[in-house]
Amino acid sequence: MPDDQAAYFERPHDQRYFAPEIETMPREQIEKHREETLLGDLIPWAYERSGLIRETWDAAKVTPADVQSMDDFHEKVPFIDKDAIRSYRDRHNDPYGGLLCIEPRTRGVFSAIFSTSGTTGDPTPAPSAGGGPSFLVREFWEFGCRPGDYFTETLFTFRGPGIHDTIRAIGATPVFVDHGSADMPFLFAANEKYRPTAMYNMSLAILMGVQQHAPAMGVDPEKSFASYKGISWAGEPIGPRARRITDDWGLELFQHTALGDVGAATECREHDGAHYWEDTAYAESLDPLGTDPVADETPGELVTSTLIDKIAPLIRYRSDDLVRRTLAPCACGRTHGRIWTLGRKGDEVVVEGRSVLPMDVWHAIELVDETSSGIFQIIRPQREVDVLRLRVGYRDDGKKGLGDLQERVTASVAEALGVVPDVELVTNESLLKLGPPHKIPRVTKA
Amino acid sequence: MTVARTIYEPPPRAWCLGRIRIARTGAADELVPWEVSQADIDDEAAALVPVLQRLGLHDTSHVDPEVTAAEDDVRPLLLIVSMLSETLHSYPFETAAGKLGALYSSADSSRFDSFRTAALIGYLHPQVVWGINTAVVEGLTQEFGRDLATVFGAVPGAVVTTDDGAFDALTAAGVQPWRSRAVGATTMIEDAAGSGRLRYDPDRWRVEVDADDSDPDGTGSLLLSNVAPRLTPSDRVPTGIRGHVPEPGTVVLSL
Ligand SMILES: [Zn+2]
Repeated sequence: MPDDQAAYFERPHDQRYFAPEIETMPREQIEKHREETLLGDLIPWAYERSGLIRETWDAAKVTPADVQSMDDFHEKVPFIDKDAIRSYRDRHNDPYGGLLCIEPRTRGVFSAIFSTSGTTGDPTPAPSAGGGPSFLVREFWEFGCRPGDYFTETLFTFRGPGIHDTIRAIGATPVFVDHGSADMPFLFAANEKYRPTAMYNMSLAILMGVQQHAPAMGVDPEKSFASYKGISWAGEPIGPRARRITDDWGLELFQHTALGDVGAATECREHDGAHYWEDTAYAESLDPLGTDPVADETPGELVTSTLIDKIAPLIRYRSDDLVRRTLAPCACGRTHGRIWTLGRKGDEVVVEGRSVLPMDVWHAIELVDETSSGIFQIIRPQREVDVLRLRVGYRDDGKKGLGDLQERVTASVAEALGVVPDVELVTNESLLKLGPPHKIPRVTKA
Repeated sequence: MTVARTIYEPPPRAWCLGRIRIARTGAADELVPWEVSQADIDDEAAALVPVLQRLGLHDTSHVDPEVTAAEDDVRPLLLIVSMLSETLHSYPFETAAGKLGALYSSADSSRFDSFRTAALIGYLHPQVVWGINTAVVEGLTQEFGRDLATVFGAVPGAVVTTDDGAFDALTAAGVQPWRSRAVGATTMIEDAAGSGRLRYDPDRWRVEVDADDSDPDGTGSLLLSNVAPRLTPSDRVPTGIRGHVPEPGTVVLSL
C-alpha cells in the first residue's frame, strides 16, 4: 500500500492489481461513491454550466434539487444523445454542442483541444487538460506489462498524449507505431530488438498489415510477437476469423471498447466480459426502445454518466450501443461491472420479424473462402426491411472468375440466420477504402 | 473522498522509443529506433518557443492563468499535423505551445485523416498550422474535393509544410507556405516563408557537410551531431538532406 503523500510507488511485479483498493472496492462503496459524486457534484456542476444539460433539464422541468436519490435520478433525469448534441451545436453555432462547462480560453485548465474520430468527416472538438495518466493504467498492468518494459502504442494523434502518459505511469516506455499496414516493417524491427510486452491497440487493419508484410519480410508473426503478454483489440469486436489467426500467432487479446463516450471497457485475463470502472462512470442498461432498466445479462442500450469529467460532462447519455451488462463480481476478483458489446442500435435491421446485427452475419461470411476476411456491409435504408441486403467483399485473386461465390455466400448466411439475403459482391479493397484505417462502416444506407 | 488517489510507478528512463530517418547517399532511407528522454523533449520545446513566435503564434503566457479571458481575447492555437510515429519530433511543439500560453490541437498527417485538418482549421481558427505533407494535400484535394486556398487561406500565421510536394502544392494554390524538415532527431524551420534557409540553435546541434559526399561549391549531404546532451547521442548522423552551412545556425537547402 503506497503512502498517500508519495510521488511514486513501486509495486511488487507479481501484484495482480495496479490499484487494488479501487479495483476490488466493495459494491456498497462503489454505490456510495457514485451517489455522492453524481448527485452531489457532477449534476449541480453540469446544470449550472452546460447549455445542453440546462436546456434538456428545463424542458423536462427538472432541477438538481429534484434529484435527491438514485431513485430520483432514474425516475426524473432526462436523456441526452448524439442527435441532441449535434442539434445544440447547429442551433447555437457551438462546436462543443453545449457540453462545455469551462470556457476554452480559460488558461490554467486547458492545454489542448483533441477531437472525436468523426468518421463522417465531422469531428467534434474535445477540450482537454492535456496529458496525464488515465485509469487505463489498471488495464495496462493487467496485460502483464511491467516497469522497464517497452509498450507498443498505435493510436491516432488526434486522441492526444494521454496514452503515452498512461504507459509511462506504469513505468514502461511507449514505442510509437502508426496504425496501419505501412508501418508494420518498423513494428517487426521493434518487436525483435526491444521485445515489447503489451500493445494498445491491435485491429483488423494491423492484423491485415502483419499478414501482408510478414511473408515477404520472412517474419514469423508467432516469433515476432512472442514477447507480448497482452494486446488490446479495438475498433470493432473481434470476428471469428481474426480470432483464429491471432490464436495461431499465440496472442492474448483483450477486447477494448468505448463506454458510451464517457470511458472505456476492457477485458481482464478471465476474458469474461469487459470491465468498466465504476469509480469513473455510471452505466445503466435500459430497454433500447424505452426507458425501463433491463435485467442483468439481458440485452439493453448502454446509458452512461460520467463521474470524473467536469470539462464536458455527459449525464444519462443514450449511447446507441447494445450490450449485455453484469454487476456480478468477476473471477479475477474485481468488483466493477462488465459488459459484452452486441452492436449498435442504429445498426440493427429487422427482417421477417428477426433482428439482425452485423455480428450475426459476420461468421457466416467468413466461412466462405473468398470472403473469409469478413469485410462486409449491411445495407439499411431503414430499420425494418423486406430483404436483408448485404455488400460483401471478396479476395480478388485475378485468376478465376466469381463462379458460384454469390450462391455460396447466400447459402452460408441463410443457414446461419434462417433469412435468405440479397448479396452484392465487391472487392475487399473497394470496401476497405470506405473506412478509417481501423474499421469499415458495417452498416450503410445505400 | 470514497476513492483513494492512484499513485503511479516512477517514470521510465526513456520518454519514448521513436525513430529518426537516416539516409546515406546511394543507399535507401533507414528508419532507426531512437530513444529520447523527458529532458530532451523539454530542451527541444525550449528551442521551439522563439521559432513558433516567428511563425506567428502570439505569446500570451503573461496572462494570469486564473483569469478567464475576455470575450474578445482569442487564445492562440497551434494545429499540429503529424503521425504518431513522428512523436519524437512533434511532441516538443505541444510543449512549446503551452510555454507561449497557446492551445494546441492535433490531426494525423494521412490521406484519410486530412478532412480533420480542414475541419479543425474551420472550428478552432489556429494561428499557425505545422506539419502539412503530400498525403494531407492529396487527401484534401483528391479524396475530399477541397480547395487548398480556401482551407489554408484562413490561417493568419504560418502554414508549415514538411515535404516538397506539400510546399509546391500550397505555393501553386497561392498560400505562402514555410518549410520544416526533420533533421535527424531535431526539427528545423525556415527563417522566412519559402527562403530555403533552415534555422537551428548552434548551442544545441552541430551541422556539417559530409566531406565524402559534397560538391566543389561546398554543398553536400548534411551530418548532424548533438552539442547539448541527449539521451541518444547523435554523432555525425547522415540526415539525407543536402545543402550547405554558411554559418553555424543556418542551413541553406539545395532546392
Ligand atoms: Zn475480471
